[in-house]
Amino acid sequence: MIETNRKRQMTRMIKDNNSVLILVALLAICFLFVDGYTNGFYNVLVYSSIYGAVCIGLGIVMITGNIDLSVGFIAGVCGIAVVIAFNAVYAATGSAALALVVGIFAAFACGALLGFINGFVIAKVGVSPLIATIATNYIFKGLAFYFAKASYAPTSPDIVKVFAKTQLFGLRWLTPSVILFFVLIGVVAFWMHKTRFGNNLYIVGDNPEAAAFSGISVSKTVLLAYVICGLFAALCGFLMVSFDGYAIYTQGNALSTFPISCCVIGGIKMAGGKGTAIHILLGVLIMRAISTMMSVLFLSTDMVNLITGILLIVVLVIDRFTSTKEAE
Amino acid sequence: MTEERVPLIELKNITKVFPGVKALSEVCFTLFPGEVHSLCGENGAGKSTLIKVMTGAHQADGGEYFIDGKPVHISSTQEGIALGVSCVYQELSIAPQLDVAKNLYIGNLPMKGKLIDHKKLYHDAADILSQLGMEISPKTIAGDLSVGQQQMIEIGRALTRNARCIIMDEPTSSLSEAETETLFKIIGILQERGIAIIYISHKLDEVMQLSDRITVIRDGQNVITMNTADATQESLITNMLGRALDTMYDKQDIPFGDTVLEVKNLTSPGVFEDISFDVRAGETVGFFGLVGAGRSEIMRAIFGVDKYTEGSVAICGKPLKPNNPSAAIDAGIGFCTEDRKKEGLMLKLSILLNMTLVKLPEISKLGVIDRKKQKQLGDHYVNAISIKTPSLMQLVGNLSGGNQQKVVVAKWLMMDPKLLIVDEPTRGIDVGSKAEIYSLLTELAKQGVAVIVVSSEIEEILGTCDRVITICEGKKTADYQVEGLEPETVLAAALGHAEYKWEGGDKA
Repeated sequence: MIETNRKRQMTRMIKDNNSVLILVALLAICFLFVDGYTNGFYNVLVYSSIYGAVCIGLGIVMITGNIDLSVGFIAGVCGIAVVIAFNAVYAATGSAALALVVGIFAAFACGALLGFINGFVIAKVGVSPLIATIATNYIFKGLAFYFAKASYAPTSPDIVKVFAKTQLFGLRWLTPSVILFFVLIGVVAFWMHKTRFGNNLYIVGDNPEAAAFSGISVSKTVLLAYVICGLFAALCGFLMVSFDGYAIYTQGNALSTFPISCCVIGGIKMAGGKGTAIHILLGVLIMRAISTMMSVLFLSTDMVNLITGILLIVVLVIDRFTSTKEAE
Repeated sequence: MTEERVPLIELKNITKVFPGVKALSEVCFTLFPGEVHSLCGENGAGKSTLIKVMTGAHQADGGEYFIDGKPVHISSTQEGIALGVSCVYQELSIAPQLDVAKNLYIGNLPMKGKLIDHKKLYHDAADILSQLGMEISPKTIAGDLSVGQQQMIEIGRALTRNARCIIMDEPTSSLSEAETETLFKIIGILQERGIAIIYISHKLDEVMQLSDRITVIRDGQNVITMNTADATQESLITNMLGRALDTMYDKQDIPFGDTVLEVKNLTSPGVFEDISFDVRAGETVGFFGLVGAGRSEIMRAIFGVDKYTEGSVAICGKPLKPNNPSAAIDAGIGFCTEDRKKEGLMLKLSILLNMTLVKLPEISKLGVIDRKKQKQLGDHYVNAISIKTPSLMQLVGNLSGGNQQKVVVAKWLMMDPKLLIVDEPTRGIDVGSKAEIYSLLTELAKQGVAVIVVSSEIEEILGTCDRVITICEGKKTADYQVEGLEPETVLAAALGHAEYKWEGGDKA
């Protein structure tokens, strides 16, 4: 009896974490059959570290059973906020370091505010998260377009680029942003698993009514999840400026469906209550591994889109047939 | 007597194995045309699995299945339906936006060439409805019907498919008294037409009233098949449990302590009005009333999930903040809700997390949960109230109803409540777990917990409580000492027919 239970637990563990298998299989295929993948592999890690933060934020919101379609443009707007604040402070004081600190602070303040707006409309007013964030997505897109129709660069770009462009120990794949990303995944994994608030995310996502009956404030939890999501999007916005060297409204556009794809492929359930930070990490790596493959093969944008879509469906079909069936 | 006839369904030595569990082991079952055959057993005894084998939702791993004496192999429910085996499930499968006729013929619409034959559809549907004695138009939107009527539509659907055997799984669990009567009448009509019914219910009086024969299964094995005339409720229970149940209820004389809960003039317009009562330590007070009388709503207001406009709630003399469940929990109120799946449990999360939910603030340091303490607590309570599970990490959704209810109870036990409110504590729970829940409540009362039991079963109230308060249309209609009380008196008060008289508060 105990033996079979252990076996069942093992199979469930494998099924719940089938994204590991997908990632390993994908990388194995890429390394073996795609010429130049080994050389291009550093891209997977560096790009993951730039765009991964926004996926962590979205993943947290999705675990509460909600969704945020506006994260991309929150990141975009926050990136622009970095440049505006940076340039203003740099012009006034001439200190790049101070300008950087103020810029980062501006990004986080902006991200928290935009996240709060989403959270307030959804958790306190009660608008459906899908509709609410479609609406705020338009607003944030409008803001981004207004402030950064063309590329908008910091007046002293070098210090901003340190985070995404420095190669530590001469390794192309080891930038400060890569280290930061993995540290954040670790911290978030710990936080969601070990802390009360982290556990509340799952409880609210699984059964909000029962959560209320257990003395947990659902609206507060969801609101906070959106604010945290905004903060992660802000970090992503800052890193995009650091990586590209400028802010531009298209940065938000590039992130319109990417974070959701990452979370879903990694194993975060749309219905909420399921998934971990590790799943988010896996999802980001899978998506970036696919795009890196495309760029190593020098495929055109239309082909990239086509193939990414097809691969997504293939992965989701595999997931459908291997993942645990929900309890009857 | 019936042995001469060819059975409609005959199962011989059916075995079904799931990973880690032998759900059915050499089960035999026969069903004759026109017979009502009840299937009894505790939750997890294998009733559902047996039904699923019969309908084709599961395939047996061993044994033989005959219909009309011919061996069959049914590999899907569609095939089962084609062979005349239909099931009316506990959870209804009505399409609420469609009309009654379309619901009756879902997946089986009458066609004229490539188009739906609407004339025939509504004509045939009207025919089926009249067979069921239902006076509604086939064009009524199904979502507008009562739950009872929707269930009739499900039965009607089985008729449109020429079912010869209809399986009913807990059909009366959400029906009113009158609707149950109608259902029984229809079962009679079906029987006369030679349709066989397999009837599954925890309500033994229904089983005794309806069935010709009763089969009891336990732990996936046949225990006995008997003619209803030879059975008594006691013998059924003994067979289901594998032991005699000495007493269902475990009422004991417990001295009362100080007043724990004091409710004064609680009012929520249109829901309940001017409700006052108190409950003392060690006392168990029952709330009885018809469904919709406002009992659960009063409890929700006391616990702070719902608002109230007037009145006050106090715990141990201290006023309780309204509309704040978290404050209620801090003050020592536990609330096992009526619908455990909807309001009580996170089905996708582990037993451990579900159990320790309200305890988390206490076992966390700076917001970080102490996993070791959490596990110790979990282990302790799983043993203390014997929750049957292979592991604490098991998902609650995989447990049986009785064990799920125990998880809910454990959750509130952990916080050492001063007052525990249990709303319909034994709904959908088998006899064995029922008795365990009752003795758990007695144990709590002994420890000085004030207990409120909300229930629609008079017997349950009289068996567990010291006092009963009846609610009718949102108003308190009586407050009786239970000792020597007749069920009729309580029912009359709940219907609003009794003169209000205050008897409470001077038992000692």
